[in-house]
Amino acid sequence: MRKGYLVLRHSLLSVGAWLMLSSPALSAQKCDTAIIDKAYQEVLYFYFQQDFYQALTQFEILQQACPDSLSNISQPGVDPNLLKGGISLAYGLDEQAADIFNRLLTKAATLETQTQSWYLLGKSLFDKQQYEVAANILNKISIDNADEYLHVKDKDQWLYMQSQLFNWQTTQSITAARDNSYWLGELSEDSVYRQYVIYNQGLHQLQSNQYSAGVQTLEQIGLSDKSFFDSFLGGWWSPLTVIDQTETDALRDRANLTIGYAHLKNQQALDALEAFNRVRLDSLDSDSALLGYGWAAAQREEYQIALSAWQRLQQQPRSNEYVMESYLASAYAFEQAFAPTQALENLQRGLKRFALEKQLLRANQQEINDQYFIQLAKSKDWSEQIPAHLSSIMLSSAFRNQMAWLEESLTHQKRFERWQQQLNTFSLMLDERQQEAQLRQQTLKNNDLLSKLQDYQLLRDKLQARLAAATDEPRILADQQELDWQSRLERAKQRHKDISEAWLSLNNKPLKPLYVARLKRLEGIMLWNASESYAKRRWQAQKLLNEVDELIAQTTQQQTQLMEQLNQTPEYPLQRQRIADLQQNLELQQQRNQSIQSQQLASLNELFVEQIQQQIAQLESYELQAKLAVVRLNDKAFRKAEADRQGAKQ
Amino acid sequence: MKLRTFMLTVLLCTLAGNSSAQQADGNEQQTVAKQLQQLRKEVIALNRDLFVLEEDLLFPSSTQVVVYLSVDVGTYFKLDAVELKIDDQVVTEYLYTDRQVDALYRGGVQRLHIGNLAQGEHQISAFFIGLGPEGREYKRATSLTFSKDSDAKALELNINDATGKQQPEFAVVEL
Repeated sequence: MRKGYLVLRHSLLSVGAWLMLSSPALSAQKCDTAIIDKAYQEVLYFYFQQDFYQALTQFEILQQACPDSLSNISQPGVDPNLLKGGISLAYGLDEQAADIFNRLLTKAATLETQTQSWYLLGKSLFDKQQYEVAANILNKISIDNADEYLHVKDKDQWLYMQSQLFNWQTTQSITAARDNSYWLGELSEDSVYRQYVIYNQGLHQLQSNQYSAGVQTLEQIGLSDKSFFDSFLGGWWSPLTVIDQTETDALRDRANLTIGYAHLKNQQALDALEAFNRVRLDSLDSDSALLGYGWAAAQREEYQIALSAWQRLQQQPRSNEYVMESYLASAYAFEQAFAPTQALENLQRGLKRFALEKQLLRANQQEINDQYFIQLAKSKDWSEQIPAHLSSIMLSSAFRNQMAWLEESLTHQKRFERWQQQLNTFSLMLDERQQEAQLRQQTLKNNDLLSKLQDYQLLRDKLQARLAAATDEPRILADQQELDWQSRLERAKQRHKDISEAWLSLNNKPLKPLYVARLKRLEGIMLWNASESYAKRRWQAQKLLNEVDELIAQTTQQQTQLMEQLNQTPEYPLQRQRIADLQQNLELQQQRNQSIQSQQLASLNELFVEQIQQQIAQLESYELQAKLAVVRLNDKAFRKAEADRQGAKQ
Repeated sequence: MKLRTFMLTVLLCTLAGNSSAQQADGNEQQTVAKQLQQLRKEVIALNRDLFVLEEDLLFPSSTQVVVYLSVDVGTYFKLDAVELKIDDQVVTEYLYTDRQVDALYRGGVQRLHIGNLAQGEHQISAFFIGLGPEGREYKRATSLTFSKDSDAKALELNINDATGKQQPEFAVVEL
C-alpha cells in the first residue's frame, strides 16, 4: 500500500510541475551595477560616433528602467549627467541641457563638473544670443579652472566666446573685466578661434571708427602667409589639415576684403589695391574684392585697371550685387575716361541684364512652391543644385537655417512612417500569437493529462478504504517482506493440503499434525508481528495519505486556474494597450510635425518671396540709376552737340 | 561720387553682417525652434518606448540572450569584422567602420546580438577578423559553453591587449 501512495504522490507532483510551467513567466528588470554600466557603455558607443539621437535614446531607456541609475554608474570619466547634458545640447535640446546643468550646479558637484557645466550652460545661452546671461555664466569660470578642467578645444571656444562677449559688452557700454588682448593671449597657438577673435576685434575697431587700429589688427590675419610646408606639400598628408587650411584661407580673404574697403573708405587707394589683391580669385569674397579693386583703381584714376576688373566681374556666371553693380561702375569709369559711347553701351548691356535677372526672379517667384522646397530638402547636397540667380537668396544663413529645420522635419516624418509600419507589424504579430495560443489551448484541453486527476482521486479513495479495512485486518499494512512471507506460508499450506489429500486417497494413514501445527505457529507469529506494527504503520500511511490530499488540493486549484486561463481567449490586452498608446502618441507627434513643417514652409515661402522682392527692388534701383545715367549721358551729349553747333555758328 | 559712396556703405554694411529683416523674423523663428525642440524630445521618448516594446515582444527575458562586444586598448589588434555563432548557427556577421572601431577603443560597448534561446546548455563561438601585430592579417576564435535559465542572459566578447605577449587576447565572459 505504501508503494501505491508513493506512485500517486510522484504522479501528482508531475502534474503540478506541468501546470506551473504552463503559467506565464514574469520578468523582473534588474538594475545591478554590471547591467547599468553596460547600458552606459552602450550610450558611449553611440556618443563617440556622434550619433546623439541613439545616445539620448539609450540614456532614456536606462533611466526609465532604473530611475537613479546615472548616479550609480561606476565607469570612470566625465559625470554621466554632464554627458547627458552635453549630448542634449549637441542634439538641439537646449532646455533639457540647461535643466541638467542647473541641477548639477545646485548640488554639491566636483569643481570639474561645475566648470564643465558652467561652460556648456554658457555656450547654450551664447548660441541662443542671450549674451548678458551668457557673459555672467561664462565669467564664473576662472582661467585656472579652464586650464585644468576643460579640454583644449573647449577652453579655446570659451575664450572665443569671452572675446565676443567683450565686443558685445563694449557696444552695450558695459564694462568688461578683461579685454580682447587678454583672451587672445590665453588662446592656444594653433587654435582656429585665434583668427576669428582677431577678425572680430578688427571689425569692431573699424565700426568704432578706429581705422588704423582696426586695419593693424586685421593685418595680423590678412598678411599671414601659408607655411612653407603647407605651400610645398599642399596639405596632402592630412585631410584635417586641408579643412583647417580652407577655413584659415577663407578668413584671410575676408580680413583682406575688410581691410581693402576700410582703406577705400579712408581714401587710401594704393593700400586698398594691395589688400584686394591678396584675396584669392576662387574665394567666396572674390566678386566683392574685384568690385573693390576696381573702385580703388578708379580712386587713383587708373580707369583701364578698374574697367578690366569690373569687366571680368561682368563675365562671372553668378548673379549677385557685385556683378550687377559692376555694370554701373564700368559706365562710371568709361564716363570718367571720356568715353561716353562705351559708357552708354555698358549701361544698355546692364539694363538688359537687370531685366533678364528680374524676369528670372519673377518666374521663380511664380514657380517655386512647397513641393520645390521639400524636394530640395530631400536631396543630399541641395546647396549645389540651386540656380545661379538664386544663389544669394538660398545661401543666406536665414534660408539655410529654415532648410535645415525642414530637413529635420522630413526626417521625423520618415521616421514616423517607419514606426507606424512597425506598430502595425507588432499588432499583426499579436494576432498571429493569439491564433497560435488558441490552437495550443485546444490541444491542451484535449490533453488526457488533465483527466488523470480524477483517476488519481479514485485511487486515493481506494487507498483510504483499504486503510479503514486495516483496523480489522492489520496485515493490509504489511511491508513487502511480510507479504512475501505470507505468500510463502499460503503456498506451503496449499501444498500440505494437496499432499494430505493425495496421501489419504492412497488409503494411507493420515499424516501427523506436526507440520500443520508448525504452519499455524508461523501464521500466529506473522499476525502477532503485524498487530505489533499496526499503530506505527497506520500513522505513516495516514500521513502519506494526508500529503496526497494536500497535493490533490493544490493540483486541483492549479488545474482550475489553468482551465480558467484556457477558457479565456488570449488577447494580450497589456501589449495591445501599449501599442494603442504608442499609436496615439505617434499620431499626435505626426500632427505636430506636420504643423511645424507647414509653418516652416510658409516661413520659407515668405522669406523666399521677400528676398526675391528685395532683389527685384535692388535690380530696379540699379535699373533706375542706369536709366538716369543714360539720360544724363544723352543730355551731356546733346549739350555738347549744342555747344559744338553754337561754336560752329560763331 | 554719390554712387560710389552709396556702394561703399552697402558693402561695408554687408561685411558687418546682420540685417534688420533677419532680426524681425527672430521671434517667429524662436517659436518654431522651441516647437521643434519639444518635438525632438517627444521623438526620443517615442523611440525609447518603441525600443522597449520591441524588446518585450520579441525577446522576453525568459528567453533573451544579449551579446556585447568591448575592446580594451586595441594596440595589437585592429578589428575589421566579427562572426558570431550560437550552437553552431551563425547569428551575426558584423563589419566595422573606422568610426565604430574608434568608439569601441574609447570605451564604448556594442550590443552585437540580441536573440532568443531555450533554457539549458548552449555554446557560443566568436570569430574575430582584423589586423594583428605589425599589420598582419589576423583571425582568432573563442568560445564558451553557458547555461541559460529563466532570467535574461548577458554575455560579453572582450578583446584585450596582452602586454607581456604583445598579442591580442579574446575572451567570452558571462555578465
